[in-house]
Amino acid sequence: MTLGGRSFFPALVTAFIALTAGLLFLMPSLASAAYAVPSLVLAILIFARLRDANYSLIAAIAITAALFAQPQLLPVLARLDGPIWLALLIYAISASLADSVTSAGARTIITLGASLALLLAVDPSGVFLVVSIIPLLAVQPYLRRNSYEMMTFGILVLFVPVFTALLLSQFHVAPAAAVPLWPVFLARMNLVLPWPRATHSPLALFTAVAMIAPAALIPAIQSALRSRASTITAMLGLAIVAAFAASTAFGSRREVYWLAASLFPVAAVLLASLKPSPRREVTAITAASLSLAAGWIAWAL
Amino acid sequence: MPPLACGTCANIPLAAMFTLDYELWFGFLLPGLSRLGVPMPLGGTSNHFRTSVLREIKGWDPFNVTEDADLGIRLAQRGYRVATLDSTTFEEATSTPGNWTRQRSRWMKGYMQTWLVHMRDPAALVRHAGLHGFFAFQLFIGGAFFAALVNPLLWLLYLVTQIPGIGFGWAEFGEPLGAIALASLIGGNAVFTYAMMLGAVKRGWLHLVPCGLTSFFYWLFISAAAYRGLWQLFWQPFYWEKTTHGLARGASA
Repeated sequence: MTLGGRSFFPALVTAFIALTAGLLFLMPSLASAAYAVPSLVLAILIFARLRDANYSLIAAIAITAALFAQPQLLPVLARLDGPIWLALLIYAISASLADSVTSAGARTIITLGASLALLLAVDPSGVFLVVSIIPLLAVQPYLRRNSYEMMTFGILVLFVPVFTALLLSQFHVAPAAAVPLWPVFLARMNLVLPWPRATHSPLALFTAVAMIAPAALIPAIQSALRSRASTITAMLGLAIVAAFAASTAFGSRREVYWLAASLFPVAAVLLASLKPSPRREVTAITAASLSLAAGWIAWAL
Repeated sequence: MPPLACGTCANIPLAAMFTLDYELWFGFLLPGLSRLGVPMPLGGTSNHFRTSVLREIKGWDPFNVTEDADLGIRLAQRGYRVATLDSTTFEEATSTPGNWTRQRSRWMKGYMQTWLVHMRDPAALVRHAGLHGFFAFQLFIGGAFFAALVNPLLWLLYLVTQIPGIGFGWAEFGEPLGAIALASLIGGNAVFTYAMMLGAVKRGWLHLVPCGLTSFFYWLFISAAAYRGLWQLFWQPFYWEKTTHGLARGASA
């Protein structure tokens, strides 16, 4: 297996062993370590994107580790009933949206449309996020395209989610139920990290938003690092927060780590989209570290 | 074989849909068939052959009105491969309904002829083209005219089930079959409509993308042409309706 011309099979095996060993004490059995596979896939995708963006090996590892070591994400990593798939889909959406700024080929369009469509089946906020994508497409004219091209791009991107919504409404598809391992995982995790009593509290919300806030501020503060892709990705982060708020307002009660699972892939893509510069790596690592610190400090409070 | 593309499709809806149709066929499906190494129906406008091979297989079938499609299958039967080149031949899209119908019904009749000829000995087809080649032949030659023929029948069936009080609905088909049919109706139409629109993206002809949304109506035209071709297969099997070209000389994409 290669990515960007480099074989990452040894890294894949090493990472899988490390992740399995790290999560093993949380799992009731060795076989359940298979639940770590989706998380591992996402970690590899993020790492590969950072490396393709010419981040050094150390920087890519540091940023990926910082993004994954968030306390809000630990519940995401070993569940198969939603958050990790949401994280994977949001990664696909943010990566293809960032790629579409420079090249709106068929592959990018299909990835973006199909990810939005799958989101409808995975998460209640999916409908709101699909709707909130529309202003992001409309704002692109000032970035690159004329309004007619944006209309056609919008038709192509939204075609798949719209037909998927039609199909789902005919078959009444609902997100999957929680897997039985979840209570065991929670009980063991409580031994290491006391679970916050109120996962809907403003502090919990702060830790979720803190995953992306430092990264999102970089394009705003440092114009030398700002690129079209990073701008549109930061806007996507705002759209996700808005979609989560809208779904909550419409009665969807979920723990805040669902929002965290949505935002950390966007933070990764945003950091990978920053314009190459001598200060880029230091700035990106600082942003990821600030998110990590904010998350753990809020967790401890 | 270089892919064909239509260079004259500016403001005429039928020509625009013809262009998208060509892009679906030559831009996606045929390169996919080439990559799979399965028998591939040739497109007429520009092909490159080794003369010795052409003589060996005795050239084109003069009784097949889509002699190019038949040639592609016969080449596969003899163990030769057809591939697509990274080069484009532009041709004029038919822009008038009469011209379009005559051309399309000839193509449909030709595909029926090709299927009938090569299915006279299906064992030989499997032997020469392999099992995957055999199934590809069924899908892309047989499926091309079969889908066009059954399309209006299935739509008619669906409309009948929606008539209130008719007493005939999905329950008569049973739950699994009804669910599969509904998924095919929505998903199948959506996939091909989407593929038509993506063809325009590949060429950078974004102004044609919205035309792709009218694919449903275009396919009804294709179905009408398929029935005309089926009629001719019985009463005028070798009659070649020549397509009139040069109608849009000077127009551009």
